[in-house]
This record gives sequence, C-alpha cells and structure tokens, in this order.
Amino acid sequence: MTTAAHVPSDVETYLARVRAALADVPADERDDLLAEVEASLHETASESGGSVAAQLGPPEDFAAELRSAAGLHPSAAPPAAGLRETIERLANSPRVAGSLRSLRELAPIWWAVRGYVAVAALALAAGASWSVAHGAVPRIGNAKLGAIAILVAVAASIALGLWSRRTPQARLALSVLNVALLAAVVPVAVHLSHRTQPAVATQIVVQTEIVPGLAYNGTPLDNVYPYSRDGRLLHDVLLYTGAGTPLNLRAKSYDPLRRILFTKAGGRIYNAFPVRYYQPGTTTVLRPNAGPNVKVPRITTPPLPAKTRGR
Amino acid sequence: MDRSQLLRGTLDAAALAVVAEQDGYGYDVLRRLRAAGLSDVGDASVYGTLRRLYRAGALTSYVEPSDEGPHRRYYGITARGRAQLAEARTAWADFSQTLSNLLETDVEVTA
Repeated sequence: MTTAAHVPSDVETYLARVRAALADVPADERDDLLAEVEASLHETASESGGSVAAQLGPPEDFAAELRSAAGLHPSAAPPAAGLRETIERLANSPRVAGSLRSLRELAPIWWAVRGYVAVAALALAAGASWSVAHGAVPRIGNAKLGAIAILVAVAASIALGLWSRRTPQARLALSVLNVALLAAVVPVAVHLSHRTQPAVATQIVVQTEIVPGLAYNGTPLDNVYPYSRDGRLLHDVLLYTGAGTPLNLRAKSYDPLRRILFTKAGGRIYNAFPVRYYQPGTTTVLRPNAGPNVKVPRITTPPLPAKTRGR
Repeated sequence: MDRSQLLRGTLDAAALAVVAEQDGYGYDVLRRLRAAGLSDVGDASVYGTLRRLYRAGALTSYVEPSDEGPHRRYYGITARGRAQLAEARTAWADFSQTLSNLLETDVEVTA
C-alpha cells in the first residue's frame, strides 16, 4: 500500500520535469509523447519497485533522448530553422490562419500609421520642432511642409503595402522595416501624449495686477492736483467715483504724517485732494501750494447746447 | 565501437520488426527489444522512436484500457511500415555482409 502511494507521486515528479524540459515542443506532440511515457513509467516503477529516477537517470537526460529519438528539434538547434518551422506551423493552424486573415484586412490601417510614424520618428531623431497649433505635425521648415511630408509618407507607405502583396520577395525587407517602425511607435506615442498638454499650457495667461488705491492707466497715483478754470490750484477738493465711492490713494495705507480732514461727526476723510503731508513732529504743511509743473491753458467755454448750432 | 552507437541507426528497423511480429505498447516493445538481446536500449529512445514512426505513418495506434494504471496505447504496423521494414532488412543484410567481410579479413581501413 505504501508503494502504491509512493510510486505515482514519484512518477509524476519525474514526468513534470520531463515535461518542463520539453516546454518548447508543440503542445499536442508533447502531450502524446508524455502520455506514452507516463504509461510506461508506471510499469517501470511497479516492476522495479524503486525510484524512477534511479532506473532511468535524470529526467532532463531522458527528455533529451526522447526528443532526439522522436526526431524533434533539440532546444539547442539553430533557432532560425526552428523559428521558421514554428511560424509555418502556427500559420497553418486554422485558428491562427483566421486571425491572420483578419489582420491582413486591417493591414492598410497599419500602413497609414506606419507612414506617419516614419516621418514623426525622423523628426524626433533630428530634434525638429513641432507645430504649436497641431502638436502632431513636426515642422519641416514649417508646419505646412511637415503636414505635406506626412501625407506623402502615408501615401507611399500604402503603395508599398499594396505592392508587397503582389511581390513576395519584398516581404523580408518590409518585415524588417515594419519591426523598426513598430519599435518607433513607442517614442512617437510618448511624444504625442506629452505634446497635447503643453500646447494648452503655452497659452499666455495675462493676469492684470490689480493696483490698490488710485491709479491712472495702471500706474498708482500718489496725488491728484485739481485746478480751477482760471488756473488756480484748488485745495481740499473731495473726489468720488460715479458710484459715489470716495477716491483714496491707497486703500490700506495710512501715513501718520498725512494731513487728514475730518467730518463734523469726527469721521476721517481720505478723498480730499491734493493730499498734503505735515512736517515731521508738527501739524504744518511746508509748501501748501506746491503742485506739478504744469501750465494751465486758457479756457474758452463752448456755447451752451440749448441754443444748438452744433459743431 | 559502442553498441549504443550502432543501435542508434538501427532502432527504427528493430522496433518495426518487434511491432510487425505483434502489436505492442511502449513498455511492451521496450521489454521485447531487451529480451531479444538489445539490453542497453534506452527507454526514452524506444518511446521517441515509436512516436516518430507513428507520425511518419509507419505505425498505427489505438488505445486499450488497462487493469492497472493508465490506458495503453498500442502500436501496429502499417503497409508503409512493412515496406520500410523490408527495405531496412535488405539494407542491413547488405551492410552487415560488407562489414563482416571487411572486419573478418583484416583489411586495413584508412579513414
């Protein structure tokens, strides 16, 4: 009873290692071979009553002998022959043949993509710049020539694809080209995915700096000097916006030397112009009549619109 | 010369001859080859050879349930297998005759 329990697991372990050593053999052929071996191993084990490995040697050697006697290519065989045979066998299997047929129908899509990839990869390799408006178009001279180059390459690639269908000799050279371009898809795709975001990010965002307080064309004002029509500088003129907001130089600034007017109720008035400053430590304005160096023009009053004569 | 090296080229014919005599499964063919005097034939060589002959159409195969263990795959010889065996017989007779003559008459064989 102990042998019956012992023997199968011994056989199975051995068989698993033989199977592993034959991993590159086509599955159905390997399964048939191993089925043959399994039945025989059980008999070997039950007749000898000992370890299968002791009887038959290392499973890897057994697998190598099996492989060579069965006429299967040893795994050390030149890969070219094995590869070609594997590909042919694969291509002849009905399932693969079906997939290949549908791939063949989709091939023109690849031809078009391949044309674009060729241009894009060359542009990447040459370090060309890319159109800002259309991130996928490299600038070859300019973006328009880049777009033309892409169209020409796509057309040429499709023509090449159609021609190769009629010319079997061209297939090897073309498959080398295809593999190279397939590899180039990766950097091109990476470039495109990075490209689309910066195109938006390069928009220049003009953020107007909000000047606090009073400003003229964006430049902060430090004073306003009102003059009367006869050219005299006015004092303590209160200025308001159209909405009735008092105008002030800077909303937050409070200069202790600034001469502030008060309402009768005691409220501070900041919109009195020109703004004057006391001498430090005093309540005296040194030059109350100081003003900009302007020559106030002589003014003529236009006729009142009630008696319109127009102009 | 090692017997196993001699065997390599002739195992096809030996296996065909055994199966032609009576259908057999892998281990059975191995046992009969050994019983016939090919004591050093490798297990894996025989199983591999049977599969290869089967793939080549020299053998046919069918499965029979076994009382102990897994089902047994029996091999029988086909018309193609018989033709191959006949060819091997002629070739072997011819070859062994030639070699016997050479080896027995002390002719100097240069490489």
